[in-house]
Amino acid sequence: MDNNILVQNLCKQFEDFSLDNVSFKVPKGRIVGFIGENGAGKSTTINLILNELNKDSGQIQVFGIDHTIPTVKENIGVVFDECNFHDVFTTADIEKILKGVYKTWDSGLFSQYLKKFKIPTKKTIGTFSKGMKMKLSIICAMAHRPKLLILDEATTGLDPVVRDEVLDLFWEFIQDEDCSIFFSSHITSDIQKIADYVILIHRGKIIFEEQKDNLVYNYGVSKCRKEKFAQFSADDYIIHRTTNMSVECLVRDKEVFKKKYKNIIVDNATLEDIMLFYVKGGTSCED
Amino acid sequence: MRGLIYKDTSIFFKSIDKKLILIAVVAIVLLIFNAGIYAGLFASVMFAMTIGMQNIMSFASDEKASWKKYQLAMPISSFTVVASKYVSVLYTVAISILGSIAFNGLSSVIFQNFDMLIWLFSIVAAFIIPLIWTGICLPLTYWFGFRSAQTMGLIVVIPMFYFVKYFEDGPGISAMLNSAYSYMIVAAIVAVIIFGISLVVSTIGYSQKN
Repeated sequence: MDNNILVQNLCKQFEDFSLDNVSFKVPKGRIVGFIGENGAGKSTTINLILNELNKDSGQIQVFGIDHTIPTVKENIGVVFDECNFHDVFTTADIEKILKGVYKTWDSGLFSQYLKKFKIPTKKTIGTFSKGMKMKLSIICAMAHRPKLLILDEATTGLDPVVRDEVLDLFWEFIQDEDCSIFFSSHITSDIQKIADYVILIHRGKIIFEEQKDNLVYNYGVSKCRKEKFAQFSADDYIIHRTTNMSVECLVRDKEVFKKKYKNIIVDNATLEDIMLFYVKGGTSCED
Repeated sequence: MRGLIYKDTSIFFKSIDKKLILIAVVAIVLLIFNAGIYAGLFASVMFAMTIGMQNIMSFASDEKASWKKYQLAMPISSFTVVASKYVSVLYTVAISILGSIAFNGLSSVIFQNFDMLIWLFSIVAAFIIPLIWTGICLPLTYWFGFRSAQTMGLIVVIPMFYFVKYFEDGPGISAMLNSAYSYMIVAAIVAVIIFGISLVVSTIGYSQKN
């Protein structure tokens, strides 16, 4: 069993949205970024993995076994986009609650994290800043020593300093080769910083599942006049978008493209560029 | 289950609505000084109703924190989740009974009257009111959400009002002396049965997914 999550041909139909044959994997020892615009299907996929929704068809395996088996969740840490703890509780209350839920809860590790992230232990959660609340959620997700962290927009709304601290914590977690992180976000810079693999979902369909380094080092964006674009072979670019004055193309291998079209400038493509091309690509936009 | 029972019990105490407590205290004090020898009984009923209401109100803070979404990601079955809520209600029934004993003791001292039947009636009321109240409202919460339970909780007040009226305007407890003990036993058994059925219905409601 090399994957902590294996999703195959997952389908889920809603009135106004559907997940269509979604397949991907989260290998052991890797961080997999799950990107897409709001409403693309990221949270629905996560809810299906966590068995919070019923799937229509397809297969989901977590740690090599069916995801509906309740004991699977003992080894999963989950962080949603908001802190789900009651405002009236202190960190001591949270510990008592979660200690009674997770068999593997590690009180020592919990207090170590609280100290490390300077989370007040005497105050109630209602007095915490958003950053502190999210840090507490992440600490709680990690204090029972899970093998898999599932993060649904967990860094959204955090300031850059807190975000950086949190990303460092994820790095620390992934040092154990059996552990994985499945990290959904529409903040592509976070994914670009820490992910090993990137999955793009758009309108309920997986657009690509690629190694991040391949995307960042090989993909490129070329910008040229319309006349020049006419010379390009359709096989040399993935997608293009036309503006009033020029055409921008997303290319799979910028070095090969540069060699073939010598006078064309090809910039590095960020994950955000790539996502925007796929999500908005092919449509005409204003300069 | 231990963790969830701790959570539900803590929420019960920590989310006590100060206005609700103030209203209950004023009502109980008024009852004690105006109801004569029935003061302990009325105060017990009022206290038990407050506890029943507070059990339902604690759901509001669960909803505010989107706790259910988080709870669904935990390695616990639907039955454990719902059962822990019901166990925490049983803890509050104990508080209701202790309150009833205290109010009747106070009433006995103030009015220099000790009636065993009133004491027993009060304790049974303190036992069955929170059970029936939550037994009706918890399934509503798990099936239709907290708001519907809150509305139903208010409707449950109506029979309580007639209960108090019966003692104030009617022949009172002396009229039912012969059958009082059997009434109390039947009422307690019915309350336990309602509570048990309620647990099953709530579990089915909680387990429902899209």
